[in-house]
Amino acid sequence: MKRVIKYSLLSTGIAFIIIPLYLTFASSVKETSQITGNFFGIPNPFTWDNFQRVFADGVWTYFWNSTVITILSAILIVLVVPMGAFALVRNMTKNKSFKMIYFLLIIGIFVPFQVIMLPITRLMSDFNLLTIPGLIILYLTFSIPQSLFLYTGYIRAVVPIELDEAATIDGCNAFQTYFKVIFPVLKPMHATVLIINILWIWNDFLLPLLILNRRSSNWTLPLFQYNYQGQYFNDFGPSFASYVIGIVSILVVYLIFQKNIISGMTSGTVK
Amino acid sequence: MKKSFLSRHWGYLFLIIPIVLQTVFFLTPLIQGFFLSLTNYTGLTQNYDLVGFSNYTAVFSDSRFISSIRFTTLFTIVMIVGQITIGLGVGLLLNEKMPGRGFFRTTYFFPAVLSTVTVGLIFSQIFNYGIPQIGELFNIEFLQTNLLASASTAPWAVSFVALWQGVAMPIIIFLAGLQSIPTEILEAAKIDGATEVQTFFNIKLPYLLPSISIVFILALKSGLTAFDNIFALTGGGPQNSTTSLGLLVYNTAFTFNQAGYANAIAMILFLIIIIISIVQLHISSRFEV
Repeated sequence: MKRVIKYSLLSTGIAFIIIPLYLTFASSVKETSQITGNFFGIPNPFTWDNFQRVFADGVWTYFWNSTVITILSAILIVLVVPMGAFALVRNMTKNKSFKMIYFLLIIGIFVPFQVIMLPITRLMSDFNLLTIPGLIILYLTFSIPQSLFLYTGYIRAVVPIELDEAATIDGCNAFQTYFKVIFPVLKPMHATVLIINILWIWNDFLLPLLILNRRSSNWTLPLFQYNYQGQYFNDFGPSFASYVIGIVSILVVYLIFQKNIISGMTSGTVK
Repeated sequence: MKKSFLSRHWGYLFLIIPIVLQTVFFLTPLIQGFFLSLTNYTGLTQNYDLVGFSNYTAVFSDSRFISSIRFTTLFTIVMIVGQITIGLGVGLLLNEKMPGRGFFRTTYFFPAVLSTVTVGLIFSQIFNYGIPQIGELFNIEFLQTNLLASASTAPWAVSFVALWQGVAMPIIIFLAGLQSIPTEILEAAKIDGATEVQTFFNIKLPYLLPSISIVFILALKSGLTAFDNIFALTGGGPQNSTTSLGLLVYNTAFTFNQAGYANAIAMILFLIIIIISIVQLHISSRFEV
């Protein structure tokens, strides 16, 4: 009896999650007249027209833009941030100026984005950086507080100083020590940082809206979805197809890396 | 032996890129943002005058700001209460070993990896075409219109969508918290004849306090700064009934062209978050031994 109650409660929750997703998939293969007439019905006639329309409207460009922005930002984050974190952990105890630097680098955790929203848009416009490279620079910058916080915590906890001392005795300079010895040891934290930042950047909306909205060839997938829905106000079949493309792409990644994603996202926010 | 330049200064070299980026793209706009909040800058022309703190005092007589505070408070409370109760409830249900648990866990977490704006767009369509059809079918009057189109129902509809996605993470956080409870303690309680309610309040709940505090802070921050999903669902309307503070800053700056004033609102939001964070740190340091 207890079991029955438990499963029915859990299944109700699952229905809440799955029904909107099912409706999105179903609507994407319906004609618009059927969406307005019978939103909950089974697709009849079944049609790929909406997908053909979205592809004709260039959804691949936006998918590609999102992919490039996400991957390049992620690579830069893992190249730049752990290096700084390592320098901070090793120097902070004996040198006060590194403590100051640490503070200035992670202060962003407490600052809501709205505080810098307008000045940063102006600044990027003045620098002629309302472009994809400009956006990547911003992702790298805004990833620093949280990623640095995670890396410094990890290095402090699991990377003993004896490791770099041994490398120095073997004749490594600071760069060699870092790249050959320290960077590989940080692998578990690289995974966490990559997951958090990739999901954030892939799904982000406000920054692309501020930086890339002016030129449609630069749009990311979420920005495209938003503008597309506005464009086809009375003809939303293709909009549903654009959501499905977004959902499916993330679903594939999610099903492959599920365990890492769940533990990475929760440990990233919890710490 | 004289030490090389590299061995003396490697620390700064390693940090040069983050320092430059943070200074140019974060600290500079942060200071500018504060400065602009003291001006009557419109965002359209380059000239502006210093107006002192008048932007800050102006908020108190601004009906848009007041209704935004009202909505943001409601929305944030719904987020906090909803995420803690639903997250804890589902977490407890999923805590025991049972068939299908992996599937439940995977599905319950999935909304967390979706784009918030996509979720907003999907639900705006569901509210527009889907829900009214249910209302007509079962003849339920209040469902027959678009719930997002009325100022009395829109805040609740928006909160529902935010919770739909927002409970995913708390479920996993609570589940992890529950699994950190040593099994010996739970078994001992069982042998002593403790009821499930007693076990929950006397053993599980104390262990879950850190998780509750984390979910509280996450929900609070996401509530106060909410933007994407509301932007996609209602754009802040109807009649500003769903304009969160985060959205108000955006609209004031880019729609109403009151950039200086928008920055003052952003600074107030910043201040609110600082105050709450300090209070929360004090409270949680008292709980954690």
